[in-house]
Amino acid sequence: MKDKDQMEPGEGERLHAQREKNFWKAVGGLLVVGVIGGFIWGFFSGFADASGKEMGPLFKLAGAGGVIIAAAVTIYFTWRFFVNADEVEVADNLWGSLIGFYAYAILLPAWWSVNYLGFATPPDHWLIYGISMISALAVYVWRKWQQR
Amino acid sequence: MESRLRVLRAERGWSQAELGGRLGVSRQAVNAIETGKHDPSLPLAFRIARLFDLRIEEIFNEG
Repeated sequence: MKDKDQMEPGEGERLHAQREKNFWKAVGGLLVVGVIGGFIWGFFSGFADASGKEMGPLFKLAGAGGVIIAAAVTIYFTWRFFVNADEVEVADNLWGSLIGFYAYAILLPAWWSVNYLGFATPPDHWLIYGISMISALAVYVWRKWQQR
Repeated sequence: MESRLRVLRAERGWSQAELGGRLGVSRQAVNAIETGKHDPSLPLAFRIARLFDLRIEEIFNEG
């Protein structure tokens, strides 16, 4: 392999383009998994709700298989993402994750305590999950905006 | 952290993408280091120093 300081002019641009391509392939893979998984899940759960019957064992088994496949593919593309991510990308992800975790760590016990005292309904875990994800994404996007 | 990275890059006529490719990082990472928004890790600082044939302290200072 050629040493990086012995490269021909323009070779860095080519390597950079290749790197970007790999990076966006991983991001694209995650998006495709999300869209296809969401569509299939929505279709089947809607179908099950509309029929008004309890899901059969085969239906449940197929659903569980789908979830396992989606999780495995997500893990694969996440691994590809981090293989191609540089230290700035990793730092942005870590900051986003940290703030998302803090949002969850503060919101859940606070809501639970207020509910315990009788001032609020029980915590809505999906709402807290959503707020945590949005907080993490907002921090990530803010850092990207700063670096543009 | 302040750096002379932008000047060194300009002296060689390299774009941020060209330097990023040579260092194995993104163009955005090069920009973040040049503008002082990201302090490079020690391994990356060594890679930068080796690429420009300089010592780390000749490229970066605490500012």
